[in-house]
Amino acid sequence: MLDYLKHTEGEYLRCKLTDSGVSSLKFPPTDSIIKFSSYEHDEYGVSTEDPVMISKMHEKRLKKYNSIVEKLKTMKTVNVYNASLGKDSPVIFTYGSTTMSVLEALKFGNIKARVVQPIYLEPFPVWEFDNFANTKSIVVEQSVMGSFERLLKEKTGINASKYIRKYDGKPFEIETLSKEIREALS
Amino acid sequence: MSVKDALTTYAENTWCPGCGNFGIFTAFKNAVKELENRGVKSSHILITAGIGCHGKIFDYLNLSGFYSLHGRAVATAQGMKLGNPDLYVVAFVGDGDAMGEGLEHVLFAAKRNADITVIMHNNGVYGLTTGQFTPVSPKGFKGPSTPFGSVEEPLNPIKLVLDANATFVARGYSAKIKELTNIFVEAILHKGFSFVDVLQPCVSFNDTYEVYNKNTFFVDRIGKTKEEAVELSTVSEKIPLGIFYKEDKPVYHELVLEGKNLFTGSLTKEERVKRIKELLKIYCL
Repeated sequence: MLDYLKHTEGEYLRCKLTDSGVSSLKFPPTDSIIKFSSYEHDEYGVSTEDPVMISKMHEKRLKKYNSIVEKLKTMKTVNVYNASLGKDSPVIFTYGSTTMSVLEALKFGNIKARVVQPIYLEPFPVWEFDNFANTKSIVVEQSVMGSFERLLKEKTGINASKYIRKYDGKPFEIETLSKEIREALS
Repeated sequence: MSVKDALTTYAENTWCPGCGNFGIFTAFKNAVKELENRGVKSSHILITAGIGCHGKIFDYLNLSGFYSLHGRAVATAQGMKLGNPDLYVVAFVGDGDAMGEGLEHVLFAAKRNADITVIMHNNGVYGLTTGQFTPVSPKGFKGPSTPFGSVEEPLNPIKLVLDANATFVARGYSAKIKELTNIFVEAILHKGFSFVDVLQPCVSFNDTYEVYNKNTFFVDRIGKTKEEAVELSTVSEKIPLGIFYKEDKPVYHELVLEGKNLFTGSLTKEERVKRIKELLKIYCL
């Protein structure tokens, strides 16, 4: 059997394998040894080349990822603006500070649309997007390749009908964006 | 834990037989024991290391800390010290690691007199990757990346860190364990940036035992000025060892934190929220 199990019985294990993938955190100074490593390591925090341990640690990190997803499900991960317009109103998907440009453009042009802004991109809050699956939608983003649009499609399957992209190093200009949104939604 | 001694982990030691790192390992463990005699608990000594043969010491020493990235141990160490200034922080670095990948961290830590100890395992090669020349390898050094000999002049680490305002500068030799132990103890107890250049033969790719055994000597005094320290440390036919410079100067964490300890003195969540609300009220007016 692996050495580390034999040697570390009953001791604090910084990287203990747990069902949730999360191990308890301690801070120095304490009588326990707290080792953090930039390399693949065992439960004690000592570097390892052992394929069994390395696999277990990868699985641990995946479990931790899933635990984070579960935690996120209890938190606000998406901002929905103008939700009161109801289910039939069109949706604009955007993220980051572009959201503010979109909101201003809608106000400026008196355009009725909901704005959906995920505030987490990884893990992507897919569970929040079922409500918007079958709605007319567009994507607004600062990107030549449509990175956000592709991410949205990959994670949720949502295919926006149109997109507005900008990539000239300047933020969106409200009058122009307002006009573009109106055309895209028409 | 069933180990050889309380300061050694169960990790399998993969340094080559005869490696100079063993001397540094032993001297450091002796230094920790001596520090415990002088009232410094081993739980208050934190370690960090870069990448290379030297870095394996992180796995072998049964002390808390961070196994850092290539060249970044000194940056990590400064963060650890700021995190809790009550602790002693030691960064183990290699000569390639610290004078190549991480040179700027070393110089800036010295510049701001960060209260940490940097122990440079100086074997003159990138041993873990089979012996390429490093920034301190002598001109003419032949290795896999310089088969016809390095055409570059080496850096002088001691002069560099003195120029950058290091306040404790010494050179040791891994085979002189007793003296090296004393240097480590002094370096760790020194309040300010301590730099210890440890000559360390690499039996596989740069075996310097004979040269060092024959040609090293200990200086009989500490330099009063940086100029004198440089002079004392200068390598000619003989290689000087010992403490070359020591100066008392204000340290970075005290200047920046003004005596606060962000860890032991951290606020409760309620207090933080209250203060943020107060701040926001001011800025919202």
